[in-house]
Amino acid sequence: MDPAAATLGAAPAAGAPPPGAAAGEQQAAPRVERLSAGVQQQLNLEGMRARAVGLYKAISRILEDFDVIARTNPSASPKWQDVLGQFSMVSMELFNIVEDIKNVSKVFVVYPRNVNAENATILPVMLSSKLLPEMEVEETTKREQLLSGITNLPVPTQIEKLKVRIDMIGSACETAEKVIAECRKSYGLGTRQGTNLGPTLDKAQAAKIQEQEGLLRAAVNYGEGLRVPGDQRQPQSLPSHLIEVLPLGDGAQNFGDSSGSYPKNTSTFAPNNVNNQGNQASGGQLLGRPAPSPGTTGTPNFENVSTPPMPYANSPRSGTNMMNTPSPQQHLTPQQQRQKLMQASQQQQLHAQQLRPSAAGMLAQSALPQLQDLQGQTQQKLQVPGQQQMQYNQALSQQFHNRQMQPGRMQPGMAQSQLNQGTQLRSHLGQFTGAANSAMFSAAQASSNSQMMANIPGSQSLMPQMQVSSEIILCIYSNRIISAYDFQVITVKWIKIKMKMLGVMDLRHHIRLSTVLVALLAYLVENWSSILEICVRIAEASPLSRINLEASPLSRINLDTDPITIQIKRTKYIGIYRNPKCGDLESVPDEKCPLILNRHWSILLCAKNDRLKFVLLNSVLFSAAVFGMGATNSSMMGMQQQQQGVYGNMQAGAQNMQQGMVGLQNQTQNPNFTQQRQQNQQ
Amino acid sequence: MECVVQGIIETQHVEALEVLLHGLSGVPKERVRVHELCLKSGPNLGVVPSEVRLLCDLAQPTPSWTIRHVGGAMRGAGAEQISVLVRTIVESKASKNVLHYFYTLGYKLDHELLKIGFAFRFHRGAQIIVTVTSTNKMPRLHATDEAVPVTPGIQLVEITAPAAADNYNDVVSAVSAFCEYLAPLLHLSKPGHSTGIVATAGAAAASLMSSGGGKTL
Repeated sequence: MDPAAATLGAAPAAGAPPPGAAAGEQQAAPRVERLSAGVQQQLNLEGMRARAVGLYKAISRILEDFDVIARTNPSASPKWQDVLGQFSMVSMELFNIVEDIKNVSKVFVVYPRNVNAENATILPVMLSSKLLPEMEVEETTKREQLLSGITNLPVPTQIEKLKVRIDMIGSACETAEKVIAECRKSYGLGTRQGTNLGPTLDKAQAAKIQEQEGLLRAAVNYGEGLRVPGDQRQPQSLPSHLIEVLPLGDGAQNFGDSSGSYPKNTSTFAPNNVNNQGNQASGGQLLGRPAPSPGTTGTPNFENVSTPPMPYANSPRSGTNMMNTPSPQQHLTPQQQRQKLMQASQQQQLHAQQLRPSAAGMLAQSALPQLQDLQGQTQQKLQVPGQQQMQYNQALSQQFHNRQMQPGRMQPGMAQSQLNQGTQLRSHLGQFTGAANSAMFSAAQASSNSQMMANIPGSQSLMPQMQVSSEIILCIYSNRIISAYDFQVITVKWIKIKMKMLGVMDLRHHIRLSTVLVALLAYLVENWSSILEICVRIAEASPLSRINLEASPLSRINLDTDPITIQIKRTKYIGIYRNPKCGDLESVPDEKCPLILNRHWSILLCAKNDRLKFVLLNSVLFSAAVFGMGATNSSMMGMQQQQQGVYGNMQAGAQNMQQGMVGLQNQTQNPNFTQQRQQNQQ
Repeated sequence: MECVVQGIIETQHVEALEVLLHGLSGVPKERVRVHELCLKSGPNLGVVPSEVRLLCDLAQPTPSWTIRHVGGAMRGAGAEQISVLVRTIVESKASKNVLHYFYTLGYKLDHELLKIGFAFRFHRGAQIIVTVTSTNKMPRLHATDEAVPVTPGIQLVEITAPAAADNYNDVVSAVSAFCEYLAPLLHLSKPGHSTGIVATAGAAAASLMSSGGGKTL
C-alpha cells in the first residue's frame, strides 16, 4: 500500500492515489498501457491527482495547526469554528473525490505496492472485502430481523413487503417532522433552516423612519431644512474658527448686495499712517474729510518757494501756495474749488508733516501714499466715466519746492530727495509686475486697475465734482533693464509712483512736474546704476493740451555732482518746456525753468483727456497718468480739460506707449517722434 | 471622482456599527466634527449658480479648511447598474480666509450644517472612508455651539472612496463588497435613494455588542 495512502487513514481515500500510482505504474512499464477511453472520460486522472494532493495538503495543514497550538500553548484550544469550517471543507472535498473514483472504481483494483514488515500483517485485512467478524454478525442479525416473517415467501413478495414497510416508516417520519415544525413555530424556535423572520416593523414605525430618513438625506445632500431665513442671518457671536475669518462687519456682507467695493484700503507700500491718510484722501471721501484751515497747513514749509502761485479770481485763496488754483478758464464752482483746496491742503498737511521731521525720509514715504492716492483716484476716475473734475495734487512737487526749486538750491535737495526716494521706493520696485505696455495701460484703465495697483483704495464713491486735486500717476514699466556689464534682462517690473501735483497754470507747475520726474528718474538711475540708458519721454496727448517734454537718455547720473534739470517745452496751450538738446521740436527754453538735465532724456508725457503719462522708454517705461487736470487750463501736465473723458486717454496713451517703445528703442531722439505722437494721440 | 453610498442607521445602533467597522477596518476611528458651509455663487459669476462647500474641520486643534466642489454624477445605463454613485469631486485644502475670499467673490451662504461623528479610513481593495455622523443644524447663523440634530434618532452613514476615471470600476466593486459586510446593520444606497433601516439591525447590533466584536464575516 502506498504509505501516503496509509497516512490518509481513510479506506476510501486509498482509492485515490493508487489509481494514479497504478496508472503511473502502467505507464512506466515497457508496454505502455493507457486507461481505456471510457475510463478516461469519466476520470480525469491528472485532476484527480491534483485534488488528492490538495486534499492531502489541507489535512496536513489542519494537523499542523493543531500541533502548533499544542506546542506553543497547550492550554489554548484552537478556534473550533474555524477548524470545523476547514474540516468540513476537507471532508466535502474528500467525498467528492471518492464519488468520482467510485464511478470508475470497477476498472481499478488495489494491490499493495510496498509490502514491508509494517504492513505485512494488516494488508490482508485491508484488502479483504469480507466484512469483519463483528460486522458480519451484525449484518446477519439485522437481516433476520428484517426478513423474519417473510423469508419463506417468494422474493418478489418479500420485496413488496419491504417496500410497504419503508413507506410506512417514511410517512411516519414525515408526520413527525411536521409535528416538530409546528412545535418549533409555536415555541418560537424558528425553522431548522435558520430563515429568521425576525422582528418586523409595523407600518407606523416604518413610515416615521422613512420620513426621518428623507429629512436627513435631503438635509445632507441638498440642504433642505437648513436654510435660515434672512432675518435671522446676523450672527451674534461667531465660533472660534470663524472669528478670525469673518470680520463681524462682513457677516452680513455676503447676504446683501455686494457693491463690489473692497472694504479695505490696503497698501502695498509700507503702510503708515500717511498712507492711510493718503488713501482716505484719495478714497473719494472727500466730503467727509476734515478740512483743516488751509492756513494751518504747511505754509511755513513753503516759505522758501520763490513765488506763490497766482491766486485766481474765482478760487478761494489757500494759505499755501501749493494749492491748486484754478485758472480763469476753469469753470469750477466754488464748491469744487473749495474741495480742491481742501484736498490739496490735506495733501500739503500730510507732506508738511512728513517734511518736518525728516524731509528726506518722508519724501519717499509721501510718494507712496500719493501713489496710492493716485491709484485710488485713478480707479475712481476710471470707473466714473465722464467725470468732470480733475484732481491735481502737487504734493510731491511740494517737496521739491521745499528743496528750492531754484537751480542752485535745488540740486542738492533734489539729489537728497532722489536718493531718499530711491531708498524708500526701492523696496517697492518689485511689487508691481506688468506684462506689457499694453498691459500697463489696460491696467491703468478702470477694469483692470487692480493688476497694477495692488491696493486700491476702496471707495469708489468719489464724485467727479468733488475732486479737488489732480494727481499724476507715474507708472514705471521696465521691460528691459540692461546692465552695464552684461546684458541682464530684468523682468518686467512695474513701478507706480504717484505724484500729486496741484495744477497750476503757470510754468512753475511744469517745473514741479519736471522736478518730480527728474527726481524719479534720478531715483531710478540711482537704484539701477547699471542701467545703461534710461530714456524718458513725456508726451502729452491731449489735443488741446500737449506737453512735449523730451530729454535725452539719462544714464549714469551722478547725483552728487550732476545737476539734473528738465527743460520743458511750452506749447501753445500749456506751458511746456523742452530741452533744447532734444532737437526735434522747436523749443523755447523757458528761463524760468530751473530744472536742467545734464543728460538728454525725453519724457514722453501722454496726456489726453486730462491724463498724463510719463513713459520711460527703452529701459524703463515711465508712465504717469495724471488726473484732474481740469483745475488748470493748461498745466504742463496738460490737464486742463474738465470735460474730457477718462478712458480715451489711456488707450491713446497705450498706443503712444507702444509706439514710443518702438520709436525709442534706439535711444536716439526721434525728431518726429513727438510729432507723430501728437498726431497719433490726436 | 469618488464613489459614494449613503445609508441611515438608528442612533441606538451606532455603537454596534462602530464596533463592526473597527473590526472590519482594523484602524482606530477618527473623530469627525465638521462645520460645513454651502455657498452658492451670485449672479455675477454666471447664469447658472454653482455651489461650493467649505468644510471646516473642528476636530483638530487648529481648524483646517477644505474646499469641496461636488460635480455631476455619472449617468447612463452603466451608471444605473452600478450600485454606488460615481461623481466628480474636487477637493482642496485652503487657508482660513477662504470663506472671506468666497464672500468677496460673490458667493453667498446657502446653508450650513454641523456634522459630528466618527470616521474610519482604511484600504480594502481601494481606499475607503466610512463616516458616521449626526447631522446638526444651527438655529442661528454660525452658532455651532447650539447645533441640534436634524433627525435625532437617525444618523447618516456615508461611504466614500476616491476614484479615478480609469479605475472607478475597481473602486466600485471594492465599495460594493465592503457594503455587504455592513448589510446586517444598514442598507446602503446611492445618495438620494431612500432605503429605510434594516429590521434586524437590533439583533445584529446586540450580537455585535455582546460578543465584543467577535462577529466575523
